[in-house]
Amino acid sequence: MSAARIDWRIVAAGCLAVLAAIALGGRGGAPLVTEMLLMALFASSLNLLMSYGGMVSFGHAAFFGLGAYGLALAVSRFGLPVAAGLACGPLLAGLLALVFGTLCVRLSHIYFAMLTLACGQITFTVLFQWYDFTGGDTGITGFMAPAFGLDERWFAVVVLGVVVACLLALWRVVNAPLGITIRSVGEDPERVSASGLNPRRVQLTAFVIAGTLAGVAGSLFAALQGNAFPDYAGLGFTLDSLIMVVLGGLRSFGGGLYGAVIYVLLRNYVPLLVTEWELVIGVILLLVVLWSPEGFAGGLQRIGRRLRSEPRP
Amino acid sequence: MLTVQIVNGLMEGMMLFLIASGLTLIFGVSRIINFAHGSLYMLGAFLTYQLVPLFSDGSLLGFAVAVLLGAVLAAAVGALFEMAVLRRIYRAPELMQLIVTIALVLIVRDLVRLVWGPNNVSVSMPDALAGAVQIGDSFFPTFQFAIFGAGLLVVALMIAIIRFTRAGVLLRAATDDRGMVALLGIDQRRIFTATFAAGSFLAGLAGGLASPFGNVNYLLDTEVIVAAFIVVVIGGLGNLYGALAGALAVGVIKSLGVLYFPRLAMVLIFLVMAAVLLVRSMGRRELQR
Amino acid sequence: MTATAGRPILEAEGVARQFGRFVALGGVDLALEAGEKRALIGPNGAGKSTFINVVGGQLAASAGTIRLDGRDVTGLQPHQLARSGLGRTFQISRTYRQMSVRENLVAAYLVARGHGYSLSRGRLRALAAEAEALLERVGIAGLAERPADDISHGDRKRLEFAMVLAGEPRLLLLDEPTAGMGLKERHELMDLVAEEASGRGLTLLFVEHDIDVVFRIADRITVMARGQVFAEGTADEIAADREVQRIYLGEGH
Repeated sequence: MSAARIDWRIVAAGCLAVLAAIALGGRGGAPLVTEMLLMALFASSLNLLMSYGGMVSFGHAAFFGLGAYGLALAVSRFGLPVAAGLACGPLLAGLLALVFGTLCVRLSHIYFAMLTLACGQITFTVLFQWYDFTGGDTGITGFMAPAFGLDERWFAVVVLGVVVACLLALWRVVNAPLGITIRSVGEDPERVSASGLNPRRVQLTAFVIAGTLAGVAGSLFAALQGNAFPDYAGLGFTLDSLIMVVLGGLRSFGGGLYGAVIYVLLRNYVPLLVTEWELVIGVILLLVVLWSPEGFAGGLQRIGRRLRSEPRP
Repeated sequence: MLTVQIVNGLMEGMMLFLIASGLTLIFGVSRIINFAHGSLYMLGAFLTYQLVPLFSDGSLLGFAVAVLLGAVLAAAVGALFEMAVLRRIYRAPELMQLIVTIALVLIVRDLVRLVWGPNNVSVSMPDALAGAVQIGDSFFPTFQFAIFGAGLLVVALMIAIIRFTRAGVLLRAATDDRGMVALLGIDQRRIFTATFAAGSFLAGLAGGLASPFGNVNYLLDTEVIVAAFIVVVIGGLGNLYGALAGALAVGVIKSLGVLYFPRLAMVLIFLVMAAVLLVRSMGRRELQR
Repeated sequence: MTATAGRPILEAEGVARQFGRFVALGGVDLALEAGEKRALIGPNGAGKSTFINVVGGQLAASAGTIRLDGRDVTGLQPHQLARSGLGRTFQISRTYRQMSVRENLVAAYLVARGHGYSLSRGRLRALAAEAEALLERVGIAGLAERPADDISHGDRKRLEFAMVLAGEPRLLLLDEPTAGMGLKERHELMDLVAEEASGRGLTLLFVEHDIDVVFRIADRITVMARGQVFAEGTADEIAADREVQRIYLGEGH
């Protein structure tokens, strides 16, 4: 997790690989890649809190859902054009992240997690119950053509652009002074406080950044599907994001990215072999925690070290 | 109407206590938030469904035997999980312990679906409890009173165990101070395993007892775990008496909420949960070691 | 007595702290003159650490007032106190364990210079050189790349001390800076502390059990017992005090 410059060769290679998958992936390829990219952004936003800020959120899907509803409500209830709606999603998510975050950062550890759970469930329940405005459990549909009516492959390319831009911005944050401060607070808020900075404000900053980025992912997800449902803000999506981060690798910038790719692939291809795909994910998760607690990224680093035959740290 | 809702609330509250007691017990001793608690509840319900026909043709005793046996099996699953998985990672960050319990949720859910299928199943009510009890002008299902009675019995038994037995002394010691148990010369691992077994037993018991009252399906786990978290948080994590008070309070708030603002009832509960967390934090700003 | 006469940089008046019914501090009065080096000694449970934590803002006072440079700072948060010129180390040193030694110090500089929220990577490069120089001064420059988790207990104490110095405090609180260190290491660290304090004109308040270290470094000594100030004076005065000897010998160290 050392501060480093962006290796543009890796970024370019990654983008090319994704473009190739979109072009050659056949009918199901583009939507799958789009979903993967959006989950990667969603999980990476949670990763900022978990791997850098030392905060485990049980309500992160709230901001994903708010991103989706920000778009859906702006278009369906306020008659805004879709482009403006796409800005409303992250804005709504960021705003609520500011509100919830202000409360949540007053607590730490398991109490923080429980308060984020409460905030997440409040969001979910309001979306679920407020029929007149949010459509309740039937959600909001038909407010726009899925993927703007674009060819799915073109939409995937647009999403690629947005997600790469967001991840580069996130990279910039974690390697800037702000990122070092966020990590410091994650390691020892008491030391940060004794050094002269209010750790809660740092945590709140990270919380709002993470919430806004989750909102971007949620908005684009709603645009992909052409709908918004309360489940987007539910506990299921929150657990998905936690699992992705752990699978991909805690304490690594790429953790969210790797985790999303692995998780979405498993979820799409395991059911072709066995119906019990959750069982498979559960077992993999157990194995990861027991034998490679730093996930896929940690495993990669270990292999890399072995290839260069460096001693273990 | 108000009295009816309050009585209903208390009844539901006792059910919530049965669910939450095991969760708070496990947290108190091991500091682990067991996400799989709802899964063990669900397992208890399905096992009861499986066992009832073997022991009962509607008899109360047969039902009780089936429920207890289901709970024992759930306890065995909990203990096995503790020994095979959790024991290896007690020194890891608390997040890792949480993640393995989430893994258990996924595993149990799919196994349940594999064995019992994705559809609702129902457990028949013992004949003796199928009727209703009249209080004033209102009728209440007898079964609810049975649950309430069972809840009181569990409370009494737990208090007796905690107060008067050696296991209870160890439990209190482990809850107050982990290091102390080691000083007493007790293998701490056995205490953790026993606690997990006991907590899982309570989860299975709650699932079995509640099984005739509603549908039993593979989605019960998340519904139940969220409810249990609310109760445990409101009662104070690791605090058994708090869990009882919290459970009854949540039951009553929920059923009154349903009466007065039906749409907001659930939001109200989560608001209470958030408020309790925030108020408790006021006194805890200070240095943590 | 070497401290120059001046107004006190720190004044504590009737500072009390209770935990439930237990009285950890029962009204402590203490004043530090700018530039002096004061040792705080006393048997275990005397309330020394509690006092440091109350002054540092980690614990709230139940009663009493604390003034820093004549300004009432009672009840301020630790970060507000730090910005008013108070720096401190902890009994169990607090560093960022998974970060490298250099990153630890850079993080401390970022906070101290008010760049904690900056997005400019240039700031990091600018501070790296300063961090290097300070690591050199405290004698751990060779460990810059190692994670703080990975270095010895004594080196971590040095790192924490450097992190505090990066904040350019005027008043330095050290809670058992040499706890758990060997004799030689202990004297080396405290000589470094004394040298930096004198060189930078800092006021020093430190809790210490090793009486040799105390007599070697401190201008004045405050003895605490049972949550109260029991005696105060120069090293010679304290050494000659029968009552002080009695509590030290009579109630264990």
